[in-house]
Amino acid sequence: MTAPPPETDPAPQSGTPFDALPSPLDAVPELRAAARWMIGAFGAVGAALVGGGPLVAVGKVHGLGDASVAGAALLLALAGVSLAVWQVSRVLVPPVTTTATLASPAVRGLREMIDAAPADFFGATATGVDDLLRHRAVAANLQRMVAAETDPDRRELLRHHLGRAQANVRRTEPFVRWLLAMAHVWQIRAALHTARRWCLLAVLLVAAGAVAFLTVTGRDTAQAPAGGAGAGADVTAVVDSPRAPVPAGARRAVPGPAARGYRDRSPGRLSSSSSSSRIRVESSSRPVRYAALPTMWAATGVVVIW
Amino acid sequence: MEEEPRINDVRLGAGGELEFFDGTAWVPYPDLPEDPGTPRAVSKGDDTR
Repeated sequence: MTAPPPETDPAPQSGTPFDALPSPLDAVPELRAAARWMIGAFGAVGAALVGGGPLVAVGKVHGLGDASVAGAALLLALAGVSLAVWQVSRVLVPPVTTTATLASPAVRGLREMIDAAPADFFGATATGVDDLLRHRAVAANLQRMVAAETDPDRRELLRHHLGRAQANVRRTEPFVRWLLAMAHVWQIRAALHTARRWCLLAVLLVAAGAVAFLTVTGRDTAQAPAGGAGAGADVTAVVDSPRAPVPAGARRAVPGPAARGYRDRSPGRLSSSSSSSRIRVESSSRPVRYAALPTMWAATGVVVIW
Repeated sequence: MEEEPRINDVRLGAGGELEFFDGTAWVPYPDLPEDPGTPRAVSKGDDTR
């Protein structure tokens, strides 16, 4: 036994193209939720910078020059965060949407889309946005003519035409309401798209600031410029000493300068307390390693925002 | 000197018909077709799903 087919709903009574479609305004909460998410993400980055930056820098910044660089880098990163939050927060500001808004550049794309296929949106009611909106203006002009007309016959004729124009206004009103709703959403969507582009710039600013900040604060204390040494190297020294010969081509790693009693005299070079030892240093720059983190973060941010 | 018409200006034609200026010429004002209903999906409060 087969179940009887479910009864289908009767055909909608409305003949407009918008039947059974969700309202354009339903998109507003989703757009604003995306904006809040972006603000939250950048806010978290800002909080991490403000809260963690000074803690990271404590005891690692030496000299006025490094302090200035670290401060400028932190400000640059915070400027990026502020830029992103400011731009994205514009999405949360409710726009005022009137028929005049339809002439603004912000909704040019919407107008072009509708005017390219007006029948899909308005059916036989209008041939475009301007054609849809003209009836209210015509009715207003007729109203003024009626008020200024002194001839009773012409006034009566104008009243007749005014009734026609007002009937057209009533017929176009649902389409105008839909158009205004769409324009409202379109403005928010345009603001979000603009904010996303600004966020890309903000990510780059934050990454640049973070790289500079971590570069300065990532230096070893003994290798800070004030100490006369160079750019913070993780040192893996390879010793080739005549007193302890090693096979040709073989290199023996030692724990580091501190364990070996070495003193660094110049950037990237080490010397032994034993004059007979020749030491070659393979160094991996710690700032470069630190810089990889914000760079990866920036790349991830760019991908996510895009 | 006659003032240039603006878009959507209206006037009565010789036969008493209504004309409006569409930006390029004076054209007869139309009567739109009757619409059997209104689009329901135009406001947040409408239950359209």
